[in-house]
Amino acid sequence: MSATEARYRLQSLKRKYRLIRLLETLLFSVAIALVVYATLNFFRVPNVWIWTSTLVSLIASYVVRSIRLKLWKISEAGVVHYMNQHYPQLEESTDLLVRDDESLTSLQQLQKRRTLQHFETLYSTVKLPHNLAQASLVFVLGVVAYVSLTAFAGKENTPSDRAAQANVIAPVEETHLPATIKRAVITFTPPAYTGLPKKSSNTFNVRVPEGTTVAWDLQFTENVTHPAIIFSAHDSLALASQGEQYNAHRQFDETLFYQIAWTNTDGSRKYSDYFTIEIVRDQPPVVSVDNLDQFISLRLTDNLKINLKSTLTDDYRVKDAYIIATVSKGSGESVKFREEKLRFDTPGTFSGKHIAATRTLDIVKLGLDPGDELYFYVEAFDNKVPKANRARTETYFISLQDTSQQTTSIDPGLGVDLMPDYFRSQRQIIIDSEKLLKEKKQLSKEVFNARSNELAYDQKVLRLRYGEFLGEEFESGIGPQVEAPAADDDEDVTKKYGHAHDTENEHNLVDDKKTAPAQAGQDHHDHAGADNDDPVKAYTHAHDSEDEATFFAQSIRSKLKAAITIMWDAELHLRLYDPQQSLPYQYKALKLLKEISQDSRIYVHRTGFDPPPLKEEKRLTGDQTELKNSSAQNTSLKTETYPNIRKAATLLEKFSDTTPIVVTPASKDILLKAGQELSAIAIAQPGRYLKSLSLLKGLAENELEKARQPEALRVVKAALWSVLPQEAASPQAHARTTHSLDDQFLKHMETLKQK
Amino acid sequence: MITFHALLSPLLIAGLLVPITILFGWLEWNRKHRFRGLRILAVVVLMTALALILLRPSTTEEKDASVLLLTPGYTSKQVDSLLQKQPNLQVWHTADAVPFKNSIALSSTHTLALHGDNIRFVIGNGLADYDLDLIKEKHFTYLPGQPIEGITTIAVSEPVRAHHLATVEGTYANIAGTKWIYLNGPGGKEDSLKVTGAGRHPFQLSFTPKQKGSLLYTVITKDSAGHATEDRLPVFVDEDRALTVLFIQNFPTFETQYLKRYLAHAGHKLTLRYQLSKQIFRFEYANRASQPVNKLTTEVLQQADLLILDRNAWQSLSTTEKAAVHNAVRAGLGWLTWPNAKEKVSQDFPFALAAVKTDTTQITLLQKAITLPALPYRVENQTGIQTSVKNKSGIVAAYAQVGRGKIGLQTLQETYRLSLSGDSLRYGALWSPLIEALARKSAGVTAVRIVTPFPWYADEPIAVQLLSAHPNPALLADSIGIPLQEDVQLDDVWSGKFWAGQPGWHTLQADDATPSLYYISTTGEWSGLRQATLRAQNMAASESHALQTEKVYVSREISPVYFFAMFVLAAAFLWMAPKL
Repeated sequence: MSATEARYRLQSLKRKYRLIRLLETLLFSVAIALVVYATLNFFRVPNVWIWTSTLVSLIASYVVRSIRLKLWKISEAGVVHYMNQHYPQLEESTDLLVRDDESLTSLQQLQKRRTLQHFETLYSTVKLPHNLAQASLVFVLGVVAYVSLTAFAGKENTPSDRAAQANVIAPVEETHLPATIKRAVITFTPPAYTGLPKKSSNTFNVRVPEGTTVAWDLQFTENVTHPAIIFSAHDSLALASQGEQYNAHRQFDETLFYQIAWTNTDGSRKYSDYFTIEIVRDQPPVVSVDNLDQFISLRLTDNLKINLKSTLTDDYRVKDAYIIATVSKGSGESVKFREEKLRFDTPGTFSGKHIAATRTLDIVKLGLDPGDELYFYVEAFDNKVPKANRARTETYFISLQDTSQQTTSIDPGLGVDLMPDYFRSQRQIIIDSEKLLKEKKQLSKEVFNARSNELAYDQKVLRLRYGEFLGEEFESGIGPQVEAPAADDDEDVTKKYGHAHDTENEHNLVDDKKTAPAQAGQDHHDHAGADNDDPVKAYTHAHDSEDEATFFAQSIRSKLKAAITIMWDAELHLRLYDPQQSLPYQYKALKLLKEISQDSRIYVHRTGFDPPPLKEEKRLTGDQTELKNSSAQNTSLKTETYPNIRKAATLLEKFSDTTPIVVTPASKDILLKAGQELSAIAIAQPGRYLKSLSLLKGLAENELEKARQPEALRVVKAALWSVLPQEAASPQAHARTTHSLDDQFLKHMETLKQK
Repeated sequence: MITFHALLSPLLIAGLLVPITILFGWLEWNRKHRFRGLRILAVVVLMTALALILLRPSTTEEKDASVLLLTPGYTSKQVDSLLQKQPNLQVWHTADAVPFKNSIALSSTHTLALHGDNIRFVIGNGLADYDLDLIKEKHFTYLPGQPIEGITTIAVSEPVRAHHLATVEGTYANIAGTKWIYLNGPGGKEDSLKVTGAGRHPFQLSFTPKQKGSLLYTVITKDSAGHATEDRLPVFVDEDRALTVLFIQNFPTFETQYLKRYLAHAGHKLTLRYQLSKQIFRFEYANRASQPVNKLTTEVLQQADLLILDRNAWQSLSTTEKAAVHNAVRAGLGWLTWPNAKEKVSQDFPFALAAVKTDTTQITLLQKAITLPALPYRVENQTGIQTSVKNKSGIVAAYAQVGRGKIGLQTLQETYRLSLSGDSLRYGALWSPLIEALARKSAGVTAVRIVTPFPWYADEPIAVQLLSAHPNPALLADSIGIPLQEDVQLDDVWSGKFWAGQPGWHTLQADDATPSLYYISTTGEWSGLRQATLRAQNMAASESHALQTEKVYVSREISPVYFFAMFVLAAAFLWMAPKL
């Protein structure tokens, strides 16, 4: 190795040393800067400060370290000195290597050559002093500290994280403990059926499932008395003491606010901020039928097996679900319903949040005939206790078409489909009779008899009313009958009821063949005389006997007659104060009346209002002596909405003029009352007014620092103002002060106008 | 010419300084150093400087007496041009204005009382009106300074009542660019608008207060760069005052029943009378004790603020009753009526009606078009007719002043439909203005009016005018009596002046009247408005013709700084001399 080469080597050693030291310093300072950054970030110091301090610490540590290592002073001489000191092989002669041969004595030159040889062998093994390992370790530690610190601090910073958190059933946001509360542990136990674990936190605002039991475990910094939790539902819960600990628990089904109140040692009552307990309702299951239209019309030739697919979801668990199917058979008045509960084919038992259930509906098996309809819906229950939430789908319709449908034509006179109203009357009499019998023991004889008689009267009225449309005569027709001319009778009935049914003409219109066997004999009553023993009848056209002069078919008539006869008996026994005896008759009558009602339509003549008779002598006399002025008086003042909020809004307007705010006891009272009104509104929209509520409370208690007051005033004012409803404008009276000149002016104007 | 304004007596100064000068001179003479002559000279200079500081010499020169007064907002260009034309003008500037070259500062505007008569020009925003009052003989020409930017006029439509739409009208003077004007209420933003381009832009903002009392609204002006100015606008929302309304009708109609319900709900005192037969009536009372009105007399009508009497009922009144109604209207009663479908014009009406073909009409209420049935007549627009509801087809509802009272006419029918459809806000918006305009204005004894235009700042005088029939009225500003002076020519008109207190709400209480509230703004708020007012006032006081000028002696103090410099230099030489 030549001398120049050796010198070059020394130079490179110097460079290497400097580089190593630089790296080392850099590692140190970056580590320190990282730790500073992470620490400040953890404590939520404003960003500007974080960055300034980080930069300052980075530069400062770098500079300090550099000064200590004298990095800028590294020179060749230093390296030479180091070599001399640490490598005795060089015999303290390294400095000769950097000097030119010319300036050296021969001895020195000799020595230089020796040293060169040594240096050559030594060069590759030269170890420069460094603390790289240490620096790396510090750097790694710094990185670890940074990662761990930012991992905790960063969470609340990103909005997406916060959004994600909102869905978690847990504390809503970080809250600061009130000044005198040292420690608070709030435990919430969701109801067992939700399957959610028990949780604790030290934040006061909580969001929990419905039915959760919330337990507070509080510790105060000083001695307090009467600690209690006050709820927005005008309810409070005293905290029980266990040494220094105070605890209480309650189950919640409604969203509400609460605050913690306690009495200090100096006797003053203190209140904490408002906190929310937000209840997440257990939603009813969501049920849907996925594959069917709401109205399905099938022909007999179609596939009569319908596959029903249903999706059931719930926020916790679907416990049970089934199909309620109703088969309606027949048409018109003889519709019959049959309800069936059908289980799903799959799954057999329900569990889980999301279930797809299926069932094949066999129309034939369900007993549907052509013309029948099937109505069904799916009903599902969740696992909520004590009362499960229930949900059902819309009703789905499946109709099996009847291709051979008959149409019945209604006779023109019977357009009104009126079922008799007073069949209940007979039933009512029965019920009353039975009631009377039941109460017989408690009643005096007179009362019993009187009531029995009253029932008898009711029975009579009923009988007479039925008699009315059997023909008036029936009532009086106990004695011998006088036959009236048939034509007259016919006309009479027609007039009376406006019902042209039993005319001669009609018989030509009626289709003989289609009449049912049961009706055959009765319908043709006019010719039935052929079988009669009376020979005269065979030759006369006895069209309508008095008895038959109604629009009823023969069977109904006879049934009605029978019913009326039985009613007579029922009345008789009631009149004899013997309801027991009367009851069987009443039941018989009811049975007959029911049969009649099902047999045919019955036209019931409704009785209207009967005005009292006019006094003829008073009519049109114009006498008004008895007429007086009438008057009505009412006071319909609107009640002012939110009186305390209005008062508080006025008060806050005044406050905004004065700084600092001075809260008198009277204004504190107004503010607290306004807070109560606001909290009642806030329950509906907890997020919206919570901040205003706590600020309002802060203002009322005069707890806010002076700097925060104007902003708090603004927020609370805006909140109160937004609560006040928009109302209709109402005219107001105005005052006007007029000068005598104004009057003069008006007077002259008037005279001018008149000219 | 030099004059002295000595701080101490010149004799005393001489008595003190001459011996000291001699003493120091003698000491310097005896000192064995170089520059003896110069040192002695330095001592003399030193003492002279000291004497001059104490004697305060000033130069006096003969000058034109005319004064050019510079007030804030002047431009040097204006002053230069003016001085070029009239170089002999003395230039003064007010304390708050920027000095101009050699301008003389007015230590206080009170000196205007002494020298104000010589002011010939005022440049800038001008003098405040109370300063103008100090100048006995105003003979000056006012030249406004640089253009104003900002709100130059603003007024809230009086009176402001809860749930009634109130408007703020103003003008924005814009120099360039786009500006946004926001109106913020206690509950947040109420209204806003945009102003583009240079010039004066009239604007209108509206708000609906939901609450009674004294409220502070904020008018915020923002430019496109985001610079905002905030000015607080005081709004006083009046208390509700109930009306006494008398309905006279032959039979109840849906229209009146709903009107009754609406008015009764708002707390007004109502009496309704329907005719059952000739002498028999049915009465309904709301919010008041029953008091049958069998005959319309002056006494009965005096108690009512508004009479609702349709034409059919009118025709069934007796002649004396009709006369009583007319007299009552002249005395201040409001009378609302519906014309008869058959009759068109009546002599009892101050209206002329014009027939139209349609029996419905469309009106706009609270930004929504509504179609309502209407009688096929429209009120013709004559002098003396005031419009309440108007649309394209003509005047639908109107009233006219008759004596002190008013007669109103409503051609809209079946307005209860609005109420039935749940739109009580629009029902109120339709009826409230008409009823309010018609109702009797209760005669107050006193009325207070602040004459000084808004805004009012602390420690500035406010002029008030009081209208009072009292022989010796009293007016209290925050419980402090204001001395009042009655107008020389007008009876019962009193004026006074008082000093505004701290920023905030204050009351003016005149005798038995309800106290009126006024708001003292913080100094600096409404600067554009203040400037515009000042300019208007100065412009009003300005004269354009030139006046003969006279000569005056103007003395100007020589700044003591020069003497102090002399003193320091001389002292420094004396100190340095031994070391040289």
